[in-house]
Amino acid sequence: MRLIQITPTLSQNDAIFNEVCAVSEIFESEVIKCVVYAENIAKSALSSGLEIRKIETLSASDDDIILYHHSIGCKSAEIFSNLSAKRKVLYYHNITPPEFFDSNPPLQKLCRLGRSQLPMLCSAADSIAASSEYNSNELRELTRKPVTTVPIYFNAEKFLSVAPDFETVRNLSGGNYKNILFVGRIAPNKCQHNIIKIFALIKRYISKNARLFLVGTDVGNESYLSKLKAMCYAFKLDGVYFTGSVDISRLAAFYKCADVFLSMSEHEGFGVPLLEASAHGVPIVAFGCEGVENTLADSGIILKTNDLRAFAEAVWLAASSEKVRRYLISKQYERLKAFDKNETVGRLKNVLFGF
Amino acid sequence: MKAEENGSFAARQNSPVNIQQIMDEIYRRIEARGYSLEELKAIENAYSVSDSRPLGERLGSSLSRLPAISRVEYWWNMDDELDGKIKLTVKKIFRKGTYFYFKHVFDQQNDFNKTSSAAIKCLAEFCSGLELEKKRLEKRILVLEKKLSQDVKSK
Repeated sequence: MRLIQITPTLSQNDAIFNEVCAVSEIFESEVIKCVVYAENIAKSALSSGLEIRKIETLSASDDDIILYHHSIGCKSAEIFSNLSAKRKVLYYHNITPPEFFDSNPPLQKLCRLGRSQLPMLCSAADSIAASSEYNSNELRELTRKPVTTVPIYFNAEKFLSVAPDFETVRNLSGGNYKNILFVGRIAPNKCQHNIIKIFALIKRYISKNARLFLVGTDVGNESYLSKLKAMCYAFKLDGVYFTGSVDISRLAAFYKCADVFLSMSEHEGFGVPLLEASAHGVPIVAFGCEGVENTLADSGIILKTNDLRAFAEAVWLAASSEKVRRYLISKQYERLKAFDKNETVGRLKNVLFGF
Repeated sequence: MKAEENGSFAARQNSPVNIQQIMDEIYRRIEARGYSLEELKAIENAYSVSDSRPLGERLGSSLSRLPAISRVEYWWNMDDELDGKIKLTVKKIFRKGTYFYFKHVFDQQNDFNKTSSAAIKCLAEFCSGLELEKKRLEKRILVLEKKLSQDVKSK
């Protein structure tokens, strides 16, 4: 028996890539052979130690279990639907609504395709899972089959064991600055433009001693990045840093030095960086979109308003009031317990093997 | 920047904080801060601003990448680690076999790319010069306007 994972794209520093790695690691330790098939494979992914193959070469036997990670439209969805295997499992990570990508028609098309493939995938799958309750509810509207919520596997101990990059920590620790952090792809649905607006308010009305770090790749969204930079220029803002994609030790350094994590995402399927920030003891201020609310529950400061002043004040309060920081961090630690890795593995086994 | 400084919130609250108190404090600070509604509106609408960065900054990495990507290499890279040895050999044979057939197309394309990138670079330099000149003239206008208003006042 093999566990075959299929994903449209494999690229390092991506939440689905990390999930694929984690699933392989869990089941290989139980002596189940794991193979990953993908349509687009980034070179960086090849050094991960996974057994990776191109989707065109996929052949499954009646003894194999197939786990399909769905996050965007692709031909793998059709291949998965037509395969015969012992058990076919759909794992839905959500798809960004196409409206967010008006300036990127090819991506918009893929998002649309991904959503249109959902009914086909649901009917082809023997078992259906989704990474958050929000995602599960979306599928429940499409199918009568039971949908199980299996959160993204988050190993807090392993994540915290990564030594932060010394050079980055040194650079970020200098001066009496409050460091505001956001981690996530540069993308319109992540609303970095609103983060910049809030940062502009902080700089103008609250304190000059603030810095903003936007960590994440801009690949595929270069025009949006250009717009963000134009905004910074128009505001005459200094202290905004676009870091691009960073490795795990630099990421740890950013979390270590952050005073507050600010998320303005208007669409999130799950929100792994929220868990990462919580594990690192960084207080979170976030716009209350459904996916974010699902992940944070009653932890962090969640604001469901368009009033940017409220965010600016919340960010500064969370960054500078020790009492508020302590309260938020303790609530976030408490929330992390809901993503206990053993519980997640149990649910995953349940959908994969039916026990 | 004077509305509420660090720690005063904590000092005022003796009991442990809860989310309602945090929310109240946020809205109290908004009231006290004195945000200018005009400026707030300008910031909120800023997403649609036209890109006013200097041309060099706007072109940024694309311009510097131009020389490196303008040449189409006929002997394209084939270090695809996912392909087996047989597939790779077939690909290499195909590449060699079609070399004479496609060479003139690639030469033509490279010639075009070389000329266009040189022209783009030249235009970018020319625009940067114009931008500097525009700034210099704007400064000059300001000085002259100041001088003119002083002359008018003295008369």
